[in-house]
Formats: sequence, C-alpha cells, structure tokens
Amino acid sequence: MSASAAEPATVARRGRPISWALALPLAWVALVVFLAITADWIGLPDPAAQELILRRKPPSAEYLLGTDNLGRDMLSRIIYGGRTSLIVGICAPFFGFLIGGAIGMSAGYFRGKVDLLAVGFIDILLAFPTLVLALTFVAYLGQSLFNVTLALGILSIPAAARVSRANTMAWANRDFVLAARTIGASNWRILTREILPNVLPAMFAFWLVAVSVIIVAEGALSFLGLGIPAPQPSWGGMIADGREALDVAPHTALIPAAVMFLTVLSLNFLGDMVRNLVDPRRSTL
Amino acid sequence: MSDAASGSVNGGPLLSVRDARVGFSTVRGLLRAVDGVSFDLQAGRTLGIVGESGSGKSVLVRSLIGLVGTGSGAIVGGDVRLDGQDVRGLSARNFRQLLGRDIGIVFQDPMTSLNPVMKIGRQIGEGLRLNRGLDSAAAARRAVELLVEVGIPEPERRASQYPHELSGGMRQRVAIAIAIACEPKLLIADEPTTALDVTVQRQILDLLQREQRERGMAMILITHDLGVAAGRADDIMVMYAGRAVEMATTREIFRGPRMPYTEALLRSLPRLSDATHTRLSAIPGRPPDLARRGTGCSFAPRCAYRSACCEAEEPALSREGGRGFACFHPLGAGGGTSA
Amino acid sequence: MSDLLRMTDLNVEYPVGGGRHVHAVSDVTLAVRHGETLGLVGESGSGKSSLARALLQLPPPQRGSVLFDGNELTQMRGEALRAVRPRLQMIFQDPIASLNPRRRVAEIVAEPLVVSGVRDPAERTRRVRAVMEAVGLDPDLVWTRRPHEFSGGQCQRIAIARALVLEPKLIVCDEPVSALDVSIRAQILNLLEDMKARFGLTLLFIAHDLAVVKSVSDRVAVMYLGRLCEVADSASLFATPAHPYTAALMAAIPEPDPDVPLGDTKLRPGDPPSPLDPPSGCRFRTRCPHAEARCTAEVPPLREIAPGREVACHFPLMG
Repeated sequence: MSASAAEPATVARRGRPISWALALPLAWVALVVFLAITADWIGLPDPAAQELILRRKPPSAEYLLGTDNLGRDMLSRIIYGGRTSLIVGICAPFFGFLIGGAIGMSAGYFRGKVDLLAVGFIDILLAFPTLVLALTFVAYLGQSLFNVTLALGILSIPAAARVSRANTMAWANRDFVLAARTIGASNWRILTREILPNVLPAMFAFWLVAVSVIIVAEGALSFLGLGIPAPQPSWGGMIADGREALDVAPHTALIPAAVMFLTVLSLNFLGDMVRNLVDPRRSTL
Repeated sequence: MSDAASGSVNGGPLLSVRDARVGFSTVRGLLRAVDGVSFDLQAGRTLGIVGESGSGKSVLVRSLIGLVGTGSGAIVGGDVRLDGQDVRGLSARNFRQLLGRDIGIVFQDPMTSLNPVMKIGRQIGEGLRLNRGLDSAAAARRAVELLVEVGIPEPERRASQYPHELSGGMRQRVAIAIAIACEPKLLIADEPTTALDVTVQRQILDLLQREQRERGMAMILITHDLGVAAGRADDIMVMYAGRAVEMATTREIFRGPRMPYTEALLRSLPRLSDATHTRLSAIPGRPPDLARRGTGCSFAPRCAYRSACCEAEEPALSREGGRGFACFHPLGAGGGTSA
Repeated sequence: MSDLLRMTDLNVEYPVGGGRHVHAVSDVTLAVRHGETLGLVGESGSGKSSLARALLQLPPPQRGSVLFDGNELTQMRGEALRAVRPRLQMIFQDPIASLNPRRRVAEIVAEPLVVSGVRDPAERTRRVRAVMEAVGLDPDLVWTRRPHEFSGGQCQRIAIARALVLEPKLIVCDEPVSALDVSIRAQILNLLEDMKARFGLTLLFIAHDLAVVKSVSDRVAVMYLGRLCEVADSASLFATPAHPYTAALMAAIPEPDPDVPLGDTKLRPGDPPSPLDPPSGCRFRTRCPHAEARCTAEVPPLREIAPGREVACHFPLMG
C-alpha cells in the first residue's frame, strides 16, 4: 500500500479564466512599456523640437495628439514622458523595496532590538510630509533623473518595510521555520530560502501599487517644477505646461493627465489581481 | 427520559429533513458537499452526526439553519420541516424568528462564537429581548439565572465581564447559556468540545446532556470523536463524502455496523482497553475529493469488501427495520462477503 | 538500557509583559532510554510543547540541563550545536504548516542534507528517494509537487521523511496525529512504529489523547501545568494510575463503546488554573479530590514508589 500523491490534475491548477478586468489593464501597461522601450526606433519626431508656428494645434493627421505650447509633438512627448515616468516609477520603488524589504524582514525575523531600531527609523521617515521631503531633497541636490529617483525611492522605504515586516512576522511563526531551525539551518538560509519566497508575492503586489503612487508623485514634483528638468518631457511637466492654455488648447494638459490616470488605474488593478492570486492559494493550505 | 412538554405538536418527528443538498461551484467544478441526506429527529432524542473532515456534517447542519449560501456561491436544496412547518419556504423574517425561538446553536470555537466587545450578560439576554420580548432588566436577571444553571460561579460578576476574561471552558458554558436562553425545541452542537481539554470536555458534555434532558429538547451533536458519540447520542448517522452511509441507534452502530466504513473506522481506533503496541488496523487511502465524484460508492477505493458493482453504481440508502445503510455488501446478517 | 536523553531540572518561562511570566515548565527531570518510546501526556497549558522545544534548544530553557547522546546541549552554541542537530529531529502537529508552501517536496526533504553538508546531488537524490519510499510515498509522483497539493496525512509522511533523512537517533513527535482525520491516524501511527523498528529510533511522543499514547508508548510521563505528575511504564500506568490527575484524565476520556459507562473524574468543579499564576505547592491541588493542607504548603517531589514508577504526590493512589 502506498499513500501516493494526488491525481495529476490537482488543486494547484492556476488556470483562472482571464477576465476583462485583467486583460485591459495588462494591455495598457504593456503598451506603455513597449512604447517606452522602443521609442527611439519607431521614428518619432524629436520631442524637444519646437515649431512655434504650429503651437497648440489640436490632434490632426500629422500630429496625432496635437502640439503643445512650444509646438512640440505631443505624441512624441507623451511616449518619451512615459519613459521618464516609468523609469522613475519602476526604479524608485524597486530601490525602496530592496532596502525597505531588507529592513522589514530583519525586524520581523530577529525582533528585539533590531525591531525597535527599524521601527524607530521607519517612524522617523514617516513623520516627514512626503512631498516636502522630496522637494527638499531635490532642491538641495539638484534636479536630475537620478536625484528624483533617489528621493522618491527613499520615501518608499517605510511602506516597504512595514509590509515586509508584517509578512515576515506572520511567516516566521510557522512550524516550517521551526523545522528549518531543527535541522540546523543558519538564519541567513532561513531568511532567504524559507521566508523570502513566501513574503515576495505580497511584496510584489504592493510594489505594483507603489509604482503607480511614485508615478503620481513624480508627476506632482514635475508639476511643481522640481522634477525632471526641461526639455526632458515628463507627464507631470506636460500637465504643468498645459495649465496655462487650458482655455484655448485643453488637450495639452488633458491628454497627459488622461494617460497618467489610465496608467495608474491599470497598475492598481494589476496590483489587486496579483494580491487576489496570492491570497487564495494561502487560504487553501 | 424527558417528560417536559416540548414534544412536537402532531406526534411526528420534531425535525424532518428530506434530500438535503449543498453544492459549491468552484474552479474545479461543482463540489457536492452534501449529496442527498434525509433523516428524522424525534423530540427529546440526541442524534449524533459522525464523520471526518469533508464528510459534510457541518455543512449539512449549517445549511438546515440557513448559515450556508449567502454569497459564497452555494446551492442549497431539499426539504426541511421543523414541527411540521416548512422551514425553507419561510420568509427571511419568519425564518429568523424561528431560528431565534426554536433553535439553539453551540459552535466549536467559543473564542469566535462570542462577541468580544459585548458583555456576557448582554449577549445572553439579547435573544431573550429579541425573541421573547423581555425588557432589559428582566433579560439581565434571566441571564444571571442561566449563568447559574450552566455552572458558572459568581454569576453577577461574570455577567458584566467580556469573553476574553473567561477561560475556554467557561466561554463554552456561556455559549450554551445563550443557546438555551429562549428555551428552544432543537439544540444543535457543532463539535462543541473539540477545542477544549478532555477534562473540561467531560464537564461541557455533561452539561449539554443535562440541559437537554431537563428541557426535553432534541439535540443534534456533530462530532468526529466516536467516543463522544458513543456516550451521548441515542442515534447515530455516519456521513462520508457528503452522504449518509449508515443510520442506526448507537448500540446498533457500535455492536454491529453494517457499513464497511463504520466497521473499519471502529477497528482503526486506538483504545485504552488495548494493550500497548497493538497494531492498529488502518484504513488505506484517504477521503475523496468532493469535486471529482466518480460513479459508484465513494468509499469503494478504500473498502476491503468492494466488488465491480460497487465501482459502477452508487448504492442507495436501504432501510431495514429502522436502520439505514448504503452498501451493496452490508456486513452482519445477510452480507459481509469479501470481493 | 542507558539513557539517550536526560533532562534535569528543566525550566522554561516566557515573559508576558508587566514583569509577569508564564511558568511553562518547572523543574522537570526526565530521561528517555535508548530504543524506547516515551509518551508525554498533558492537556493545554501542561507545558509539553514548550518542553519539546526547549529540548531542541529552540529556544534554550531558562534553567536546567539537557544531556543528549553525551552532549550537554544547553552549553552548546553555533557550529557545535548544529553538528548535533542531525541526531535530534522533530515532527509537528500541523503537517501542512510544517512544510514551506513555496518549495517542492523533493527540496523540502533534501534540505536537511544540504544544510548538513552533503554536497553531491546524486547522493542527496538517492537518500531522498530511499526515505520517501520508506514512508510510503512514490518519489516520482511527489517529487516536484508542493505541499498544498497534498492531504494532511500525506504531508505528515513528507514531514516524517524529512525528519528521517538525516538518520537521527531521537525524534520528538509533537502531537503528530491530532490534526489528522480519524481514519488516517492509524496509518501514521503504524508508520511511526514501522520507522522506529526499521531505523532503530527512539521516540518522544507527545499527545493529549491517552489512547493514542498508550498505543505507541513503552513508558508514559504525565504533565500538569508545567510539572511532572507521574512516570511509569505504559501498562502499569493505565492499569493502576498513582496520581489523581492521571486517574481523572483516564476517567474523562470517552471510550468508543456505548456500554462502557462514563467514568467519574472526581475533579473538584472549577476551571484549570492559569500557567501565569500556578497554585502554590502541588499545582493540581485546586481540582484534586484528595487535597489537604500539606499540598498547599509543599511541592510534592517526584519520587519512586515502586520499581520504575515515579509519582509527584503527597497522597498517591498506590504505593
């Protein structure tokens, strides 16, 4: 008699039918990413090229999304702006989650003094009004893509630390972690091989949401003139530029706003989907 | 036996269930948690529903009292009559009244079945205020009386405490007090002692039995512990994979089971009366996946007596002088031949 | 028979804030002999699980000594302790929670080998396959699967395989069948007995179910609120319990037989006390039908009242 394994088609089938709620956001984000990557190769006009005669023209056959205040091609600027937003939006929280995740996992696993220090540090970071800190940072260090990314990355550390700490604490109490200790696994091994794989899904879901938040934050910084410096386009900067012409050429502000809105919405949806994918599996245990 | 006046009005069974069904639609197909269960329960008697995880015993009873099916995609079917009255056909409001007045429920985990932010006395009195029309003062007095009855010392002090200030055993006593407060006709206890220590378990079961006898209630006792069922139930219904596979009085079940599953289960239990290191006779395999029901008897893959017909067709519940069993090769008189 | 594991004056306490402590285990002196199965019985709050973890130094006990296979575990740290660990393994109550849901079964069972330095992958594969077959799992069917694809009973088999792969001398089984279905328990209990015979193991079997404990144990120790009440060989303990708590436990258990009347536990009414504030003297005195003044004043020491029988009671039921 052998109590052998479950039947071939098992509980773990991942095939959930793809719903529109998942397909549309995914398609949009994929489009934005694709265009951002291939921007240089699809023959877009120079986003910095000004044609003052053709300023504030509405969408037409030649300029698919019209032109902005200085006669620059909106479509091209949107796509290059998307590249900027994505770079900041992806790298900043990635950096933040790397550091915040490490802090949070250490705090949640080792507890005691480590936890006290980590929580204190996080609380201090959180005490600063987010945007003010970012503004100060950028104003002091100078505006550049790197500095903006760094500033926003640091600001995403606390959230990441909280999520990873809570998750780590939940997983560290499980018997399989105790089992790993009984066989003599080192703390490093337990953290990387037992706890991290279980914390990662939740972190990833949260990271997706963080990306959308950072995109908006970058937009806000650029809107206030303290983000990516001109002439490099960014969605926030474009909204700021278009603000002056809202009555005569609303498309110059509304189009970048709409694009940002759709991107953030899609990322939020995707983040929810990922969280749903992660949780039910845990509940079947 | 009981001599109280809460028998059923027309002399028939207090609770009558016909073809109860509960299905959940999942990604893997329809999961038939309860697949056509029928039984009767007379006033004053205790029915023990015995089964393992996945047998459907909890889902069955919860579906009877309407605790299954709201928003979880559950499909509930069958006919349920309490005291002759069709329960399923009632309006939501009337059903709630019936539930509050005539049915008392004790759940497994007193930690979660009590409201953590409401004082004990108020929780006990809530049903009295809603269903018996008592005012707050009268309900509070009755709550204290009930606390005495379920054996909680210093009842006035306890009545103004919160659940977390009580131990597990005491919380379960409170849960019992809440269940019997409105003098129900039917008491349902869903694994009431599984979460408790064995010495406390004994006290709680004694209490349940005493209350049932004194008030003449009918009781459904759901348990996976055959020892508990042996000592407390008059009749036993054994469930496996969503169906009732055997029904008989307690003595009949333990002395002469007809279903191979029941017999195998009894044989596999370690007993205090056995000598140490007695080899246990284990049942091979494990309970089936309810979403993937094949044809044939669901116990057949594990049954020592199976034959070809067991795998082809699902045996219906056949009756024999008050007993019921679902098997093509029942044990005991007239059956029991090996495959 | 010599002792494989000897714990002396073991004490485990947990701080719970406000300067208070839970006295989970108090002054426990107990030995496990080579090749035997020692059953450890107690209800919740008895300290049996805390004791198990303290034996494995996870975390180490506050006071007391744990002498295992000639090594004083409480004095060992780091590499030295890690070197001993392969000989002392554990199986847990919730089989599914004791396996990492993100890892495959083969990796889970091979992990102990990796940690203890078996570098050759082929060697690891060979040993993992062997131990899987020993516990009744088909290696080819389970190799790449994850724990949530299995039932409780199968997960426990995987956990047992993991515990066996390092060829330990002693396995601590912490309620290994309590979370399993009744019809599966017999399978796992038989499996444990088979593995013990095949690999020459010594088992410390912790459970609250007396019938299960009796079924697998040679000797049995009974704990109440952190202290040992009674230690005796299985047959004698169940035939003639010497400690009133043991007698009460046995009387409280419902036997699956309607003709056996419900025993009288003779316990005084009232709730079990809390381990935060255990009673002075004998901790069982608040529920004991035979308690007297001496029981409040003096902690009864564990003493031998007959060959092989120890009781911690001022007025034992025998001897």
